[in-house]
Amino acid sequence: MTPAHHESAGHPYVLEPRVARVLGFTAATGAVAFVVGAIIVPERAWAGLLVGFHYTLGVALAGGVFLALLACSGSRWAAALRRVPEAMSAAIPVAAIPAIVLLFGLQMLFPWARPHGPDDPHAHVIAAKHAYLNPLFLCIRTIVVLVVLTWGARMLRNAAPGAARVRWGAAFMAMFGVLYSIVSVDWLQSLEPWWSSTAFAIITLAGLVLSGLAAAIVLAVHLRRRGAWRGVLHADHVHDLAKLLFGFSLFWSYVQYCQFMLIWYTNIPEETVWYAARMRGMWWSTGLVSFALNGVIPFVVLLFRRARRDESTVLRVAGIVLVGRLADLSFHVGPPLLGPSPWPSPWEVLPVVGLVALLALVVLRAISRGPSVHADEPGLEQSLHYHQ
Amino acid sequence: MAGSHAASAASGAGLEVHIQAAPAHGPAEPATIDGDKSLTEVTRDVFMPLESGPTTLWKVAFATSLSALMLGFVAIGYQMATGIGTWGLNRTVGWAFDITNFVFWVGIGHAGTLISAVLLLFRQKWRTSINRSAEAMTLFAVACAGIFPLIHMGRPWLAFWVFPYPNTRGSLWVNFRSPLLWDVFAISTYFTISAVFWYVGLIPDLATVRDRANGLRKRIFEFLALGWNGSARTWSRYEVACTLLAALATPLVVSVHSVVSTDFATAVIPGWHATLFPPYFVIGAVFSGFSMVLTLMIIARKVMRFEQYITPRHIGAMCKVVVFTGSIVSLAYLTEVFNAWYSANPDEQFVFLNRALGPFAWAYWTMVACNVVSPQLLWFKKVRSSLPAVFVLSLVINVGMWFERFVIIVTSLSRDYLPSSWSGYTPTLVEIATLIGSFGLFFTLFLLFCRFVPMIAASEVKGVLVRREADRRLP
Repeated sequence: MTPAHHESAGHPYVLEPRVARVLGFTAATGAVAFVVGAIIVPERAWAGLLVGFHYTLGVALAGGVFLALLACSGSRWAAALRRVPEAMSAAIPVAAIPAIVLLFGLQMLFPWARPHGPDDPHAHVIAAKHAYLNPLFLCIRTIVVLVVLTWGARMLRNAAPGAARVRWGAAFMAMFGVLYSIVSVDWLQSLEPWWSSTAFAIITLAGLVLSGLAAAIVLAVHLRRRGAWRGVLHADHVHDLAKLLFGFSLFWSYVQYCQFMLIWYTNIPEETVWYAARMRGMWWSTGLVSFALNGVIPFVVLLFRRARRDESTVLRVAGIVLVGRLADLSFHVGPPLLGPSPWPSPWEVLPVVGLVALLALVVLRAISRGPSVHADEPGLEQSLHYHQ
Repeated sequence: MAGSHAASAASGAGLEVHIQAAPAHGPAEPATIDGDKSLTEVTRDVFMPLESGPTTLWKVAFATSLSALMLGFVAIGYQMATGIGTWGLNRTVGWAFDITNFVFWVGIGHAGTLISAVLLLFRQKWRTSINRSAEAMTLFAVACAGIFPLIHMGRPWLAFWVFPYPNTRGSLWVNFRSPLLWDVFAISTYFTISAVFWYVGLIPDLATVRDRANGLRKRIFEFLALGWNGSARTWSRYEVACTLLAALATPLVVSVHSVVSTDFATAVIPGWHATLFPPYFVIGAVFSGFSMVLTLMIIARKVMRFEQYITPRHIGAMCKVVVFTGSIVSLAYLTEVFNAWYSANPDEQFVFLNRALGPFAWAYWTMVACNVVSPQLLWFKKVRSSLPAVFVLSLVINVGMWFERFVIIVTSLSRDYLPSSWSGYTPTLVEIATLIGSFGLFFTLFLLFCRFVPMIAASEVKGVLVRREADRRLP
């Protein structure tokens, strides 16, 4: 109740120079690997960069989504945890780095950006979409989306608690819904421009929220174990975060199943082609691994209350989901670019790892630059003494 | 007697059994109900309508609903005797009013269980004033939905054939590959769990009615209250049952309308086969269901004099859910239209041009105006806090959501791949009378519910009050 009580909440988070160095070195290695890879095995390097782009953009945007959800729902249980989604959302510009590089590799990635002869069986479909799928318009869309979402997240972070925050939360949600749909069509679906599915955007959105939540959990536990959140994060918070992870994991499985079942059931060749490419070679097992990591394991483990309240278990499941996100994105990106059975090589893995390291570095640095808990956050007391 | 019972009901504190574990820091949460009521006052307010005669307003409303229901009975009797040739269907449009009404009513039925289960899991305490009636609404809406496929069977007395049970009909066996059979399972499961959930939640309040009653009424409620004794052990088991049922009901909220959407999405008809349909139908159902809850609650708080329990804050919170789900529905419309163009599939593209410019363009634009444009007004606090405005908007959205189903179903069927078989569709008076009859059934049941069952979950409202009291007292 007293102000002194507020100030004692949370300790400053110190980013150890050793950790920063390792992350920085990994990020640099990823960058070098991409440059070398782009020369010797371009399709792998570009595929890796694309996966890395989606990975980092997803986690960063999820930070904005959580801030918006907390603002709009007026929830207080997570007031003490606010710094984590804030720092995540501050990392949206990290995703702009691969995005800008990717704009120079459109021909590598997208059949519609390559010159195609009249004997191309998909020529007429690609021609019909030219008004939307052309390099200039894609560049404009991508830049607009990144700028608007970075700005929206910034306004949301800085909005004063109360009406302004609710307003920016709602505005961010609306922007995010439309703009992220565009990203998922542009940078994932149009890898196979002859195919489309109305559920595609919501599937990528489910993956984004799921992996973002997992990242937030990992960060939260990290902060507590490093001492910054000692006495801040406790079992009831972990329990609620685990419930959300459980729910979003189910949601992810649900939307994936909707698309798969409806395409399988109606068996229309124009639609099955997408899954047909993914039922060959190693992609089918990648899909099953993705389902296991994103859907089955979180469901089975987090079904039990004891597991949901146990920090180590929840941390492990979150880690599994973060690996699952890689499998999920590879399942989306790989088949059109890498053929049926490409064994993993460093050239597509290192750019992803490098970007994830860069993201981690930026997020951790953002947390270390401020208090680990906002002392004047409304509802902080309820959050610190939160019981279900 | 009444007071002592109130105290005993409150000692278990509804669904908030962990009162003693909650220390208070900072300002207490805003009250969920107005009037700074004591527990006794809550008991008196909630149970009074059951123990006094009906008001004139109630009688008028009941007479109107019953008349509509009677009209429906006459129409249904006529259809049964004559056959479903009395409908406006033709060889092209084989589904129209019937399935529109079916999907509409199933959709309405979504809000109740969402409020009781999902909002319970999210610990939204304001739900306690409206969950009971929203759940009842769910049951009545599902009952209304059931009428239409039943009539469409042609021989409803053989309806039990939809269940796969050992029989002597040889190869006549249900088709497990048909989404229509999935509907049977999904909806009957949903209805069962919703009914059980609703009834379990009612038990403490039924016990209160029992304790306040005499004579035959007491005997009846003694039976209905299933021997509730208000002991700590009873409460504890009640908590466990409610939480388990909430967890069971939550996936059902999603599954029912997902399955209903597959009635269309598994068909290779442009405008029907969209992978987005299951989540899109679910969110549309929540949208329409909440609008119907708004309609009913705004009426009920006046008619039953529950202004202090269903406050403008409750209405405001529901409005936020409506604008949120409405925005997702709008995004889904946008996705569909964009994707029709993007698919480069001429049949898909035609569907959307036909919807916007064809013979049913009026229905399409009604849908857009009601579902996309009108909910945007709810972004404004001024609109959300004006009850007449919210009431009108809730009606408008109900109309819009009915038209959404009509547009999806009729435009796609009336003009499909073969222009030679294109056809129109006009509902007959019999169909319209049946629709009116379903509204009659819905409101008749709801009005009876208001009279004979405590419309507000008194035990849960008290639970929230007690918890607030405990919060206030602790240092």
